[in-house]
Amino acid sequence: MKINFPHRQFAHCESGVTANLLNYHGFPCSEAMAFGIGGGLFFAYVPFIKLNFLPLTTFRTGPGSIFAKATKRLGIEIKREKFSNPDVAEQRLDRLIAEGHPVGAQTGVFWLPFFPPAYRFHFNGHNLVVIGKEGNEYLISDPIFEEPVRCPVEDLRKARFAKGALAPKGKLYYIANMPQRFDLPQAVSAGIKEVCRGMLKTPVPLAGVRGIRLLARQLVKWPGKFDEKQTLLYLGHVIRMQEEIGTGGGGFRFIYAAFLQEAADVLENDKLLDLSKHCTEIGDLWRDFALLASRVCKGRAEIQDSFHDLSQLLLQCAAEEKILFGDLQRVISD
Amino acid sequence: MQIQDEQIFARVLWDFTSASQSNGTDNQVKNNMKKEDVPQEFGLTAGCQEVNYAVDAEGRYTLEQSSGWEVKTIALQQAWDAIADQLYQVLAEIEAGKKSPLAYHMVKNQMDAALLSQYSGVSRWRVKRHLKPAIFNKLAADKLAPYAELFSVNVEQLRMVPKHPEQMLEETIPNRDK
Repeated sequence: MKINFPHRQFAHCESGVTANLLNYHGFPCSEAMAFGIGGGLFFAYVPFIKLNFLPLTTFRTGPGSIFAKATKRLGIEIKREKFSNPDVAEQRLDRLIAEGHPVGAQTGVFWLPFFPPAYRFHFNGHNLVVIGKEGNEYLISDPIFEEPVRCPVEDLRKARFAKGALAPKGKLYYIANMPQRFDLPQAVSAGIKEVCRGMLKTPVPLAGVRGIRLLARQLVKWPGKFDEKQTLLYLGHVIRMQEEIGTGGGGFRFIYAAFLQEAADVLENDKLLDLSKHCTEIGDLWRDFALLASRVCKGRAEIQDSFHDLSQLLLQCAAEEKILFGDLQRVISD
Repeated sequence: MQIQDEQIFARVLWDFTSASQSNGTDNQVKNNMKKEDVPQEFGLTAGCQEVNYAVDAEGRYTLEQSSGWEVKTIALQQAWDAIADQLYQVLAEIEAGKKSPLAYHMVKNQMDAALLSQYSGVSRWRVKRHLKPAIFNKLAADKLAPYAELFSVNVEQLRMVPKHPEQMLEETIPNRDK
């Protein structure tokens, strides 16, 4: 059994899955558009929540929210299911595929054999689409990869029931019903407004622009607080969250800039093109940060001075993002 | 770590990055993410290409494949080096009689006692007891079965640890100096 599912490779798993599912159901959609409507862009630095003993740093909203919000804003009816029993979860998946539904699944990367070994950490927020089953293997459209991949039933079962932070609990999701008409401009505006709110008006100083400033203030203290090894591990972790985890580069800022270009067409507003350029420049700034940080990790730059420079770069990112999202909010509410 | 065969492309790319840093204003990327600037450097990706976002000549965003970016590779390698360090440490502790072989398999699978307990279904305080050599050595095979199943090894393999940590990644960075 194999569903004829057009696979497209993208940068990020959840927005890629969302775009591919929408596309399959007759709504042509880019990854950037899915990411933007789903309000995916964010920043948070939460030093007291640790992942693999390192502080939680994220450049996007929580797992599952891009798909949920993008479909909701487009008026699409979806179904989501979680399971406590792996056998039931597997039977349900098999039935859905047999009925011809491509099914989104949340999985733990550690157990997926088709991943490059160097990427196999305990990260449980990875999304993919199951598009068929042949013998003892599932056929999977994973947007991170160039082509559809195969995965033994046993491994997918482990991945769907991965444990620890963000445990997926066998989560499945699929599109149940598409509406007759879409209000795309409305959906795009709603997605932009959410991101502006998240970046500018968070009640806690850990998120949005204030979160970036918090990271800048804390990072500069790391060399005094930890030994060198720990300091560099903390720094390397920020680079990985920014560049590694399917961000399309610059902590999702380039995907978002691509979305703003498309949004300019949808909303027929050329001001968004200028804001897209600004967003690209901010992505470059983040890349400057990663470049310098990696030189520090490699021992090619002096620690004390570099941490000061890194902190300054982050403050610059924060300042520019405050301007960008302020402008964006004004353009959208006009 | 032994120095790998010199790979010219890595050297050239590195020279290029260093050069752009010495004559540019310190450490700036400043390229507005153009298509031709998407890094094509060594990545620990087992040959997979990943997608980056970049701007074409008309200023429109396109998707561009990338083989890797040295910056990311350094950060990723660092995470694996940290795991290798932990493996050395835990082997020393096992050698010194402070920890049981289970500790090695746990670290190798990037787990701590809490995560191992969740995966194996063995309660956390039992897992912690099983990490002690005196208790571990007396355990019957059926008590070790949940761990063996989880790590896809047999009970005998679970009772043994290698002399030196197994190499976790087959790929290594060209010209790696350490």
